[in-house]
Amino acid sequence: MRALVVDDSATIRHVLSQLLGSLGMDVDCCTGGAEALEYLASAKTADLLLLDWNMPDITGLDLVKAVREQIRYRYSKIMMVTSETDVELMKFALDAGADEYLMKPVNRENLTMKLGLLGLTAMPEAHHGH
Amino acid sequence: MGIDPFLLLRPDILAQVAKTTFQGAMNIAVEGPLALPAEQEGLWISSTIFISGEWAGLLRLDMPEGLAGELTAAWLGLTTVPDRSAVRDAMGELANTLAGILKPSLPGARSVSVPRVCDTLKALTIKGKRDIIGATLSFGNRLFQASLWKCPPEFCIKVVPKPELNKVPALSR
Repeated sequence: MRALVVDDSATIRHVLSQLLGSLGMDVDCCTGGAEALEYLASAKTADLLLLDWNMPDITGLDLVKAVREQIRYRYSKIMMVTSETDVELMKFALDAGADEYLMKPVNRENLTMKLGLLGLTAMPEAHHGH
Repeated sequence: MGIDPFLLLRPDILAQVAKTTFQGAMNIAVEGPLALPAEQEGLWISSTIFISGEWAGLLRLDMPEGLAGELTAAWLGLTTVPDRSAVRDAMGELANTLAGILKPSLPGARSVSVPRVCDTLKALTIKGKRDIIGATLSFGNRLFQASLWKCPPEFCIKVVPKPELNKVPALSR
């Protein structure tokens, strides 16, 4: 299983990469919206995308829409990673195609719980093919 | 017109939010609020998150550079202090998380900015300043500071770098 982390913070990219790697996932990272859009346009693909809500060059909402426009990402899971604690704001992201949201602070407990809600915790490899 | 929620916030509430942030993100216990001000000289890192909306202001986290480096290393699982940009990024993320947790306590606060991080030569003096709530915290015997500032709405509208977030349609409540 491959995960894509999009976050302008090197700290969050590092923390999420470590956590996802320890769960057996391969992890790619993008530093912002422009890089993420390049990734989406490339031949690469990811089964799980963790997207920051608040980046300098794009909103998480716009990025969710861009992902869902790609047919290759139809079955990929999208999790918003955000310091936004306004659940109603997150509803915009869910309506746009996100599957789940992870409120900061990010840690192993929070992440694995949310991955569990997406059915990705126990045997991530089992979801490799769609 | 209801009571401004800012008037209900106290240093101990701000300190509790900071404790929750540090514990949740880094699994690190910090203490506070302490009665003494965090006024050590030396290089400090100041991380600011601007909050816009009907309630506007900013959240600021001020930490001595040495302590910031040590905490960043712990957060990233490193045995040595990472470079300056990594430390500043981590401090910005901490402030960002702190602001996010605090935001529901500020009805009317609409959106938060990306972090602005800069160096200062000493901690901010907060005592006696109107429209600023500050809490001195400590890790070990090293002091740092979190503060919440109330600002005129037009101030933060100008500096929040994400105007598109302000265009999110009004939510039914």
